[in-house]
Amino acid sequence: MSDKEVNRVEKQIVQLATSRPVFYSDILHELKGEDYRTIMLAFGQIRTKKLFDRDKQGRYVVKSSS
Amino acid sequence: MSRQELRTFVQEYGEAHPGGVLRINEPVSLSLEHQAIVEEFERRRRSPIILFEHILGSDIPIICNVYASRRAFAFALGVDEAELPMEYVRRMGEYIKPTVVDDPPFLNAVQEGKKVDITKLPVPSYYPGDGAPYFTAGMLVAKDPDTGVGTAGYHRLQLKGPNKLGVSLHSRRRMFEYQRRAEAQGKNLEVAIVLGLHPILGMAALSYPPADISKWEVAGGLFCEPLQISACTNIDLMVPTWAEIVIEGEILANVREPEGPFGEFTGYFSRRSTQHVFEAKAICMRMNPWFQSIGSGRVSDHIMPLALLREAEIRKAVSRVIPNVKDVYVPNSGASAFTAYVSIKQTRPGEAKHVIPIVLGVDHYLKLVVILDDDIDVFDETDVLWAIATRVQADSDIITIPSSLGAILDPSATAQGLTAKMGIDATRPFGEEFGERLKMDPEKVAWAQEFVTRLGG
Repeated sequence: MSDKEVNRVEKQIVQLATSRPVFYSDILHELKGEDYRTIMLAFGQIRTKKLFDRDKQGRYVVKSSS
Repeated sequence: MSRQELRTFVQEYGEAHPGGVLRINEPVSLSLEHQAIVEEFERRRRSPIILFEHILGSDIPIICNVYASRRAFAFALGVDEAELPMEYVRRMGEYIKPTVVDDPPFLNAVQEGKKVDITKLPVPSYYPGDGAPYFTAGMLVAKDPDTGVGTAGYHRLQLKGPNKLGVSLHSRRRMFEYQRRAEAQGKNLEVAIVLGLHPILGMAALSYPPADISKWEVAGGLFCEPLQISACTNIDLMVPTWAEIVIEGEILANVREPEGPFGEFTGYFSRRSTQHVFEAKAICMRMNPWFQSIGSGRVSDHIMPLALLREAEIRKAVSRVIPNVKDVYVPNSGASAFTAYVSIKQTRPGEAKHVIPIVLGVDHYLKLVVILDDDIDVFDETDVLWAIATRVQADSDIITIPSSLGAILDPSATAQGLTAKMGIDATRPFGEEFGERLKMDPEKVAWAQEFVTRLGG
């Protein structure tokens, strides 16, 4: 897949985590039309950019400074 | 084909045990589905080896549940299930040095440098709540930076990016120590992650050989022949020749990043982690590889090998000091880690209490040990609990040890992994009068069995 695809999915994941705290499985569920590997790559980019924190339940939330 | 190859084992096991290997052709998603299927078989008390041939979004099939049954391990050793514990103990002490083989099949396809992309592998997600997709069947291989002695062990690996994995070395055994030694020298620890291995290699990796013995020598003893090993391409390590996939890289010195949560053998999500980071340098694969997965959480695929190993090690340790060990069971109810039931035939007063600290000392995960008489079936927990109910007085038969080294993943342990340990002497007082156990006339038992069978029961 292309970088463009991965970037598009990255934005979707960030949007989702902005709306509510999410587990990784919630992301897979909400983006179930997307390719599993594209989601892995997009999530890898999010990790590299350190965009997310975790709440007490271990769910991903967008860092307040992001 | 080699008898040290996972594929050979699966084929021969399936031929010897019809129904023992299940090939699933229907599409299965990497998102929770394969774990859900393994759990459903577990609920039905079935433990087939499962080959998921059609993984959505991947050309690589997933082999799972290879380690789920005592029957499969007995088959791997070529013995009956009843002989498994003793044979495991016997062979674990017979070290055979490995032999080096050139041109291993896993060098068929090699990605190096910027071409490395772990996300091309079918890395599953196991439970809602897991932090990311995980490798569960990745055997980490490394060498002691001081002595050069090799080790191998299973550690959870969180997918973080195309060349990056999070790794937790929470068992705090050899790999943890080797990494600590490398880090003290300011060096990364070279590590190979090996997937798709014969179950005997799983048994060897979990063993506790002396510090100067490598796990490959243990594997040789278990195979009754030298383990075939081959050189990696980018790092100075040898790995099993018949591996399906090998990821070569390093655990980085002085780098820690959040890792987890992950559904652990305890039956809980674990957020505790040593938070190490692995960086991949190369991925090597044989032609049409199998990706191995070990079911997560408390499923047998994950914890059965741990139970077998502990049973073997406890039997070995106790047999040194007590002549009549009958049975040892490390039950699933104790996550195959924390609890052990040991039955003995008492020949001297005090033997049961003598044995308790010996069993607890076998493995720092063990925290509850029950010593029973030989009339108790340790594999029947109702029988064990009956013995505790009728043969134990709490003020004299329970021993506790506070603040001992425990499992860091035990949610009841402290954050540093300290735990209290308990031993229960559930044996009858030796040489003293005690209640007489109810027992039916054996002839009437046989008669009743025939009678009930005739009634269609």
